[in-house]
Amino acid sequence: MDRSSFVTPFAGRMRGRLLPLYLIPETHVLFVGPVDCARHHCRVHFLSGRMSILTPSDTDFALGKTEDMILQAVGEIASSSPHLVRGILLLSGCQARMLGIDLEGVCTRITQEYSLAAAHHEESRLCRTEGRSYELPGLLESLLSMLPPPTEGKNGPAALFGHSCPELDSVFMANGIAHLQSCFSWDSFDRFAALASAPLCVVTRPDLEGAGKRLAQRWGTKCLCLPVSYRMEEIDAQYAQLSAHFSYPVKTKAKEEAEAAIVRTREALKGSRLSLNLSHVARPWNLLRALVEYGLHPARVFLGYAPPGAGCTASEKLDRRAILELCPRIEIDLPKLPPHPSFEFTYPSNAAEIVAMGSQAAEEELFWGYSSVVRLMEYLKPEAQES
Amino acid sequence: MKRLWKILLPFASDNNGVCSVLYDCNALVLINDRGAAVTRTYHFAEQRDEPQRSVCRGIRLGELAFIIGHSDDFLNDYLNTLNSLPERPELLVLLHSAVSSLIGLDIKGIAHRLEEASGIPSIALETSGNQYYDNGISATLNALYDRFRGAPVLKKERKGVTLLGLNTLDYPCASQRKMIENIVCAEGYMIQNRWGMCTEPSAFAGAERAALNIVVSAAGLPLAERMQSESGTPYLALHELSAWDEPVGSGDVPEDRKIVIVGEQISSCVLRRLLRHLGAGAVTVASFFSMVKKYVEPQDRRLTSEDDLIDLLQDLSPSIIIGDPILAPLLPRSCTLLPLPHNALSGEYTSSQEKPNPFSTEWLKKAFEV
Repeated sequence: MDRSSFVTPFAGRMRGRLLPLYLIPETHVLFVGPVDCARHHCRVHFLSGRMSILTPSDTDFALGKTEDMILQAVGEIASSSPHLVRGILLLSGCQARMLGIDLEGVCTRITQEYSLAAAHHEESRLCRTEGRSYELPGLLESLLSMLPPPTEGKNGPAALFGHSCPELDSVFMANGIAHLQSCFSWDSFDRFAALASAPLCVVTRPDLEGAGKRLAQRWGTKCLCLPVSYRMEEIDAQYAQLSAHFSYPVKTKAKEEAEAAIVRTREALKGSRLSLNLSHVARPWNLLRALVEYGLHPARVFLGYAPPGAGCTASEKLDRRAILELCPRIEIDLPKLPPHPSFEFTYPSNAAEIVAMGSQAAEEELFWGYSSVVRLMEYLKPEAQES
Repeated sequence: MKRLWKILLPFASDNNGVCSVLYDCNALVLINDRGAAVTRTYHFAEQRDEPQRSVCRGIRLGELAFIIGHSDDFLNDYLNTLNSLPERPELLVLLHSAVSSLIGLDIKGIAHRLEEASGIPSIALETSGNQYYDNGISATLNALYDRFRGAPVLKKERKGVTLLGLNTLDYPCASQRKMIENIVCAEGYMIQNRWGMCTEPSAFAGAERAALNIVVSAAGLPLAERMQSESGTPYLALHELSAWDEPVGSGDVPEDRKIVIVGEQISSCVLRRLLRHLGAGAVTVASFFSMVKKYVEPQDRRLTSEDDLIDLLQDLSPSIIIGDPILAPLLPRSCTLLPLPHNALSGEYTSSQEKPNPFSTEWLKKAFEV
């Protein structure tokens, strides 16, 4: 059996401190922290030449020299980097958090002294393992503070906090919006900066709702939250939301395809009990609830190291409550303790019982709307045939 | 700028050094860290063939409890960790993380209480995760000596030697370590202890019985000096042994070539001695780690940042650099790098590669064929 798991676009691949480098071009990352933490940063950063590490000594921290050291380091980076540096992202470790170093103030000084955009993101895991273990949402919110004010009003491209997908693109194209600028495809710092002048921000990643709302709050951008869902009822509601936004009924043929796919899969599975590995699914409870509503029978679920609720929306919590009421006997595997936040998924001892749902899912980043239901059903069916 | 790393990664930390020394011990290493650095330390510090015997664990306190630093909370957590182990350790070692060091958590006091509660010898090391591995090795050796050393012995009853500071971060190659032992034996000494590897606490009971300490890395020197002043045990540095003159030939390295060795001081001094036997002229030793004044030659340099190395290379314009492969981006094109992996620099990236023995005639001759 293929030992893979169902992966949505929201998990894996870009993690941790790699994110800012991939997210915003012409940005340099400066990590400020102890040797112990800094040593194990991914070497890719250094090969890219877009990351540096500052390790002030304990004495430097104690004597309050850190802020000045950071400014000096930024000056050196800006003058000696082989790459164009237009923005600095300060990642701070546990010492800065403990001492309450004013890194927001340092960012302001960086902008004043070097005319560089600057943002601060706290990277303290040492004394802060409570809270989210998933880094993108907080990081994106931090990066938004780097945005310069819009120069020419709200006439930039509409923003997308999520991955581009054909179904969503076609909806917007039919309503006169030819391009949604995904936060994963900024190809220059200017593209990122154009976010401030975006008239509309569509959020399809549930964990990026906070970032969307922050954009709305700071720059007055209209925010449409349409988190990926596997439930027909919720997708219908999202289309209704889009219709209200465009003041025009938005229709799609994809719904019929999704309904047909559900029927086909239900027949193929013939009431089989499903063991599912959903460790990389953005909304596992929503997916489970959808399966139950479609007449399928999830019996056992492995949820991986992403704890339920981490980065989840209120609706996901509702889904969780619903699934526990609908299927009280469903067996849910949660690991006791992650060995390390950045460790990848490892299969449990009962891996042979886990129904894999298609390794190619990891390569797809095209889920949204009814097409996500179609795709889910397509992945379930061959596994049923195999088992 | 000092402490700014634009090209290199910071090197192995003091906590790495501690874990390296205690790798083979039946010890529980408790780091006041909530996860990240601990797992890093014990996953990445070592690339030995044999499995790690010591166990490293972090602390499982909430953020507030951690910051408030109530010693009872820490003690209870340590005891819970201890009780969860399948095998009872013979030694408990408490380490600071960057945060606990900064807030001044009294780990010595906690270690004392931990020993009373568990009945297991406990030591606390003032590491911070923000210094380099040599400090960790040195602190561990000193602490174990303080805690376990036996009664003084008359000079005439002393025999054999102790290798101080032999460790896998500086000496990753097994045949290199074996060669060091052979050289010491060829000098007419019998090796009693190897402190830095195979450092069982019980071995420190016989610390005073050695007639001589041989300092194998600069990290071992502080203890060697202490033992000389406190118990009269003399010491020699590894490169001072005359047996190094025997294994290599001579005349293979052109005298006009300027060579810079970047690495741990004592091992680099051995290499310098061998190179001089092969005919090398100017050989400079540079190190990012501890350098002992008495073994420093006029042109040698202690490096504090990657800029220091760049400056040194500009000043000396060497034709050959011997050092870890990760230094390559810092070197001018006119230099040839003879790669000599140093675990403290690139250990976690070169774990799958076979480490050469730079003291062997084969390596030296092959390296200078360029």
